[in-house]
Amino acid sequence: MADGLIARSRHRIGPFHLHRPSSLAEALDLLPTAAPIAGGVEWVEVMKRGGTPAALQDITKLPDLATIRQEGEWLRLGAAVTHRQLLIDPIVEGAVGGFRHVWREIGNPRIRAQGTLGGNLAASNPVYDLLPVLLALEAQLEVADASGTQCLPIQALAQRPRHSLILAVRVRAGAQLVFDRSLRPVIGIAAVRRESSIQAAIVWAQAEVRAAPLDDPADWCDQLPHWVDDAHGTAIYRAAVAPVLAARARARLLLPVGAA
Amino acid sequence: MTQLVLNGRAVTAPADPQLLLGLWLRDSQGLTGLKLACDQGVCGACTVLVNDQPMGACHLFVWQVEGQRVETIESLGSPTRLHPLQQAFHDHGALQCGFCTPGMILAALALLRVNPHPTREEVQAALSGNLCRCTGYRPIIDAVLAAAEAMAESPP
Repeated sequence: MADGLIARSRHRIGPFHLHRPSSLAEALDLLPTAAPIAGGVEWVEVMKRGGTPAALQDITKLPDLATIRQEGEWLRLGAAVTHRQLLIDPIVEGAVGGFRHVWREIGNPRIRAQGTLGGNLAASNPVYDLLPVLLALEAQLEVADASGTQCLPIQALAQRPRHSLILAVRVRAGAQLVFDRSLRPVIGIAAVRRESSIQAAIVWAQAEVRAAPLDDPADWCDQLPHWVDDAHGTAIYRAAVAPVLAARARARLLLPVGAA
Repeated sequence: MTQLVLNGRAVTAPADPQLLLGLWLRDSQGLTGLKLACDQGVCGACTVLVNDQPMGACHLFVWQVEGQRVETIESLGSPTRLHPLQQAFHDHGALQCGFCTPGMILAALALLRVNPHPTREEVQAALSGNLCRCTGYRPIIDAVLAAAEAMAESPP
């Protein structure tokens, strides 16, 4: 490509050093100077725009990071598990009914085969679909740093310790999920029923992704303070459709099992 | 160095961590069937198969496919003896400019390997990440369904 022409593709990436730790201790030692990479979906995008770091570490070979495990009533989803693994592993659908129906429309088949849970969360992209689902599921985040391993509520994702590694997401079994993405990217509602209680998270429509108990759609909306007003839709529109979508999600979750 | 199996042949690629699979396949291996179009994982023109799974070569590093089987469109058929998918795309007018076709055919091949008798909806889902700006998709889906029948009768 001649100088002065702007190439729309064939982006090249600057050199970086790649570490390949095989133990968690080794990975944590490297963490201050080498950020983690798993599927690489996020990093490739960042690096094509010139944001290549000096060093990265491939964390996919760390023990228990690419596995899905049932531990009592909890499901442990390793941070390097791909979206495709989530889709095809029957224990995920067994623990969270409706998950497969939702997740088969996320991204595209190639992105689902490459992108990982941990990468999706670490990207902190407010338009991504995983965080609202995990908030509605009241999931836990397993993180490790030099002082040890701990579980945090998923709401604490942004407040996780500096130089910590996301190891896994933990989800309690016995949930039913619906995710209304029909008005994407204006507003989306992920709702989860456990026994008689419903927890619903809103995405793309508020200053932050947040979840609250959904008993009454109007009350649920009253807890949401900052409607986004942008090129996709006005704040007035978002505030008007939110209770409608919330009522629909609630109605779908309250149908007899199998009818949704 | 990175070892991999490319179109059935053991090959060695440079170990540079920043080397993207799509650039290496096109520039060093002469495999220009895959296209680097959107270059951000959306369009599917760079689709290759990695251990039978469609992956985007524009957003995958070579070291990520170490020890794995990579297949490109060049591994299918020949000008005188087309693969059943290539023949079906030809017969059904499933391509015009042809830019998306290598990715479409590999995505379809990955589906047919695990699901030899897909429904129309299953074909749509498997091709949902491959964009075509010419044909309007219907002939492409018709072609994949026809190829499935042809391959069931006489496997390639």
